[in-house]
Amino acid sequence: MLTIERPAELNFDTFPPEVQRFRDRVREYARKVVAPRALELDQEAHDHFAWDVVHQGHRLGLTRAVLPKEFGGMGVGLVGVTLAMEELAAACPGVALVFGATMLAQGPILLSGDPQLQARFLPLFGGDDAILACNAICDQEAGLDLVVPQNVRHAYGMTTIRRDGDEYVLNGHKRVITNATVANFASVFGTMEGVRPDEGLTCLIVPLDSPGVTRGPVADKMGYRACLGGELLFEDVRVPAENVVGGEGDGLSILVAQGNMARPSVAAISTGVARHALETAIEFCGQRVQGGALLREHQMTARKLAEMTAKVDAARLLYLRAADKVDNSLPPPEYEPAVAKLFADQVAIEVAGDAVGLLGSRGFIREYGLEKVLRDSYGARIYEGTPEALALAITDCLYRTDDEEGDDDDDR
Amino acid sequence: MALYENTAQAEHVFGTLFQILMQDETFTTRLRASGLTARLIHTKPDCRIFLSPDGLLMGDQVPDESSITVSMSCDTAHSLWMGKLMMPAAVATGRVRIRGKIAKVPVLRPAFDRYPEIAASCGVAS
Amino acid sequence: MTTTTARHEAPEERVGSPATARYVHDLARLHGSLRYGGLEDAILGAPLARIDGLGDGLTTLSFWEWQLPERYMLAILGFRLAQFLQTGLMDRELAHRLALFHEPLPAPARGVGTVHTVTLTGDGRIVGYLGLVGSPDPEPLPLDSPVRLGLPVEVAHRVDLLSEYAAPDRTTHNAFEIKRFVRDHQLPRGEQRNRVPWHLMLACLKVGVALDEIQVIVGDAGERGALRHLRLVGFDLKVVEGTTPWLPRSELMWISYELPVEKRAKPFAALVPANLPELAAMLETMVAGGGAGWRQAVVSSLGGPARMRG
Repeated sequence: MLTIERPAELNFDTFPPEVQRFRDRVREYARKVVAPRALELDQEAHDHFAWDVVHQGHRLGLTRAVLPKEFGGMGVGLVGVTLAMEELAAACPGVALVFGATMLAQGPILLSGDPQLQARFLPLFGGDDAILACNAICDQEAGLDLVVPQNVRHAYGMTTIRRDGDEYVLNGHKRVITNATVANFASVFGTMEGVRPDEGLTCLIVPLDSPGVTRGPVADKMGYRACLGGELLFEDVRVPAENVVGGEGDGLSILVAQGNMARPSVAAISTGVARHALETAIEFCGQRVQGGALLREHQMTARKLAEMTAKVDAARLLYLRAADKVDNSLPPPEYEPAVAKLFADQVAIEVAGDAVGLLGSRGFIREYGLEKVLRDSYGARIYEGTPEALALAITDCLYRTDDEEGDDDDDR
Repeated sequence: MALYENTAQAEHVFGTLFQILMQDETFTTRLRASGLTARLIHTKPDCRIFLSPDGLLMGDQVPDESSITVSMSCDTAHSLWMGKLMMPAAVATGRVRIRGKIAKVPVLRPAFDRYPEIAASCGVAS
Repeated sequence: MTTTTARHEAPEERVGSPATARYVHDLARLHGSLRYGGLEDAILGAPLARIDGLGDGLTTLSFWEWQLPERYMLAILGFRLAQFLQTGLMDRELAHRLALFHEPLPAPARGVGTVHTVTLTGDGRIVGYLGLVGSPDPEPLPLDSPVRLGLPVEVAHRVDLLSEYAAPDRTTHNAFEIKRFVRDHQLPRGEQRNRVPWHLMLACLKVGVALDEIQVIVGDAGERGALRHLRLVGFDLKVVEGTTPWLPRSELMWISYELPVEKRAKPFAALVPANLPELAAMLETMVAGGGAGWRQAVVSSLGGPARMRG
């Protein structure tokens, strides 16, 4: 008898039970807790922070989602995390980023493989009250230079690090760091004194109650106002030598791996923003009558809705593909996460803009909430890789040969 | 110049090493409990090893599929086992690549302690 | 059981490397910053004992291990580790080398199981702990049975504490060991710090009332620690002198048996007093009374041998 072996099915609608359960709980939290407060949080003072909202998300496991199970992790992989991020961002991307930035800061500690470092910091997220963290990369002068690996050698004015006995001493000024104002610790990237950044970039875990740390002003942002982008000033801040991630000079590889792991989550946030705009437009166009017909029955409107829907679906599929790759590859891949983010960030802006157009004046008035979505849609194109930086990364992958893919001990 | 001269030498050293690992009850119990299989694909020179709860296979006997595939050159493997290169750094820099359910990579402690003597006895310079 | 309600000096040679000292310091800070306000609600069913509303901002709960989700069990084990590392009664170098942030999770109980008692502040900080460990015998055996399994204190001190309490209706499932009687060393000196051990002791008595199968208690403790507390609340302790306790160096607490002889914990055993309910009620009244002299009242009103249970 002929037996035909069926190839494994690609299925982006059904997820493992623990992932499904996590997404469902986060969706409920997003709809019942976050969404009703989204407009209010957007219109609060720029330095207002809703700890009550964050505590509830923490209890769901949103600050532990990427951690191993021995630290209370949720065991849902990046696929589960990205699905959760989309749900949160569909309610408010600022709230999504509070948790996303914390996970980003946990990244270097996880990548270090250093059990003592992990034991000293990761259990912090296991209590009943929310603890947050932040990832401090961008300096006053060095921004994009630290996101494009081949440009790191040009970065100047960076936070500096020097070894002094069994401590490291930091000096520098980080800006627009999400969670800086409210974080317990920061993963800080600086360069060893006297060493070129691409060779001396080093990551240190810095408790933010250390002497010499000052939390600077919070930026008054256009969007993502539920999360705080603040400054961190380091003046002769001393941390134990064992707070280094990997070793001196390992910062660049940590930064690259961290970015590749994070980009699917950011793509998911952009997808959530786009979905919010799309759902608002679908509802409105299904109710509003103009020219004697529902808006959605007008062909130009129908065309717009169809293209918006296709874009959101495509963005979702791309981030899930990228997340699945990250869950199954070390080092994390570069290409799929960059493609997912490049596409989703643009989709968020386009779909939000189209939705505002479809809603007319209601899209332009604050109380209807869509103008907030449009402002929020521009956020992701700035952090964790601009379209320009992503284009360089993707193109580099396109032209990379198989020899360059594998390791080459001769060069090290 | 590569530390390993040929496939036979690499298979002898790494094969012996992983046979020691397969004798560790903790390792095999974890492997069995997780239903995991692993392929170690060494290059320069080629040396393929397959681990499963049922035992160890090498060379042409290694199947094309496994739960986890770990790829690295023999020189990188040597540095890892000698403790000169830490796994997180090796992975972050792409010298080691892992494909599959990476959250389930088991503990390799017992083999670490034996590698230096096994390698030295087969003429692999440290 | 080794108690740290009395202050122990950590021998200088136990500080270990600077990195180890920093690790211990960081763990203490970490566990001191964690809050578990949801612990009580997470207990399956009703706790065995609950002490609250005494005007001191403390809540003490007792429960079987199976009643508590693993997440909170790890919180308790983390608190215990942090406290015993600070006092040097657990091996700091070992904890550092193994990157521990909580005591190892115990294997699932084959015997009676463990009753845990924790004291929490109003904001959910764990500030005290006491354990009652039941027999590891899967089936109850006579106390003088040659094949019964020893309780941890008997194994460590290589002493039989139970045989002399053998009786027709008394089995190994009636014997419990008091372990890890400890309060938070970072609590500032003051009333709350003084009350934690009495909360734990009161909860212990209440558990004894709730579980009348507890007839014999054993443990090991220092003279200025739990031995004193247990005598005060009416236990007629038999203390065994001159043992040579030992634990393998893979056990965190091996180092506690390396203390100078006069500071080492001594094994003890006692029958549970028959008037335990009365003792518990008296202690609760005194602790609830508060005021300037509550501790003196405890000392003067309780104590002395009492009729034994069983």
